[in-house]
Amino acid sequence: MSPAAKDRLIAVVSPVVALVMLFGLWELVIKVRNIKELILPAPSDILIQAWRTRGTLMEYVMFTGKEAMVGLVAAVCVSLFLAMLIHGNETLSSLGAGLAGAGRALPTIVLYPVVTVFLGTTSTAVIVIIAITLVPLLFGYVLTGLTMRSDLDDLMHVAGADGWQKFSLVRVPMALPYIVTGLRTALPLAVISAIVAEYFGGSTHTLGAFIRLQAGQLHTLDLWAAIVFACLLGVLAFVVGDLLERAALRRRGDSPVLL
Amino acid sequence: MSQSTVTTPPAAVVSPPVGLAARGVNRAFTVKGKELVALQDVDLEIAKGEFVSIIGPSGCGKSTLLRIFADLLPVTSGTPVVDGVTPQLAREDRRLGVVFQSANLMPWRSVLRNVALPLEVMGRSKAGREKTAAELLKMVGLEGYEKHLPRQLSGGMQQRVAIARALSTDPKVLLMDEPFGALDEITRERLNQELMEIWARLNPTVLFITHSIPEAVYLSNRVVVMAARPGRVVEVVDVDLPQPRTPEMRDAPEFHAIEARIRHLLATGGH
Repeated sequence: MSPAAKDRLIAVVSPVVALVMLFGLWELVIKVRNIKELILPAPSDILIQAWRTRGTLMEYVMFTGKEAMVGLVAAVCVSLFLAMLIHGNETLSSLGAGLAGAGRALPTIVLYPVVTVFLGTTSTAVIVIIAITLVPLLFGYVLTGLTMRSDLDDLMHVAGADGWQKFSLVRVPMALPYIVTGLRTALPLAVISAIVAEYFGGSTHTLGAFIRLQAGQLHTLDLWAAIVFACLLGVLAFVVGDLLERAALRRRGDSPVLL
Repeated sequence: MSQSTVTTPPAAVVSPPVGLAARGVNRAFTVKGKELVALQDVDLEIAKGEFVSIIGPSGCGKSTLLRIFADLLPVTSGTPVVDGVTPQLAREDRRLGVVFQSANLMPWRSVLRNVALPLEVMGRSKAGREKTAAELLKMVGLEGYEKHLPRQLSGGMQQRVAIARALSTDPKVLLMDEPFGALDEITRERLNQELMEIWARLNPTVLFITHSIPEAVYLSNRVVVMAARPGRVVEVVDVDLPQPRTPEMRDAPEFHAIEARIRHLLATGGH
């Protein structure tokens, strides 16, 4: 086996081994110490319950996933629009970058109760708070990409390019890696925001609301089953984002950007 | 007075058509509240079709001068002339080609589409601009690399692409800002030779910035020696070597004599 293949195998196998050991230990402790299901159920029981209630839980996953997607799309639209609007102006751009940075540092999810004042505890309110949470992140990435300066600007000036040509031939391609990386970062965050917002209130047919309900009634097993599906949704969001980034950037030979 | 002198003015009065000129050009920058004189009273006349190099230490304003000619910087005072008109008019009329220090290619575009970019900006049809670009790539020795991406090429090949791109609009004036500065000596000398051949064929006016004395002497009709603080022209050295230049000339005593003169001017700043 080549050293590279060996490295790859270790990279895949080692986390699997670690997880199996962790769950094995968990299972063992529950059985040996005879811990009550109400306190902490065994992984095997959680999986069985998750499988048994998969129909209902998948319904919730779909609903929560849909909210996350709609919120993300709304945030992308708002961010693209705002960044395109101000990227040409240096003062506004630096102001926008500052606000975006501050917005990323703030726990914007706590604005959810304020949103519900206007929209009620509805699915729309959840979507709006997801968008509010994601806009600072996405806007920051798009703006950074659109305001990247390079010698290509000089080249386009000498070539006699007009504003639209400078934008479409240089600005947008330069910004693309930033936009894609922003999307990759925003995808799992959209899912997290959706579940947290639903937890605070929203449509009852969602993962977050279900988790709150089961926790309140001390249905620990159902609570854990829902957590399993929430994790699956999060992993799905991560994988989709990662594949998207690879597909978009590998073709151009770019590397992902970090902000 | 003969008939002929009436119909044709005396030779002394007819100045050759202007390729590039700086007339009393000054350029100052304000850095942290302090005024910095990048160019002081620069006077320079370059005839159409002439190949002139600028050499000088860092901060002598040679890149500033090139950027003024490229209409990338305004002057503080004085008059820059490009192909007989203002830099802005020359640029808008696509009479300018610029080769930058880095190849400055679009990494997401194929070699062919990079070369065709200025023509695309002009609004030339896809078929037309790609035909021109393919011909130019052939001229710079990159036939067969049309579909490659810039990162798949070596530094020297990338700079060839940049030269082909600058030539795509058939410019009357070619401004080159240390185009071979980052290349190894062997590649540099090969590209010097190729540039000479391109210049002989298309005969644009060339302003070539370099840090290499042999490169400046080998390529140029004249070498402008500049000094820093304030940026100014020390002297313009004529290179009296026959054209076309051949690699053996690099070893000729005349060649070394001109090199020595430029080296002395750079060391003393003309004093």
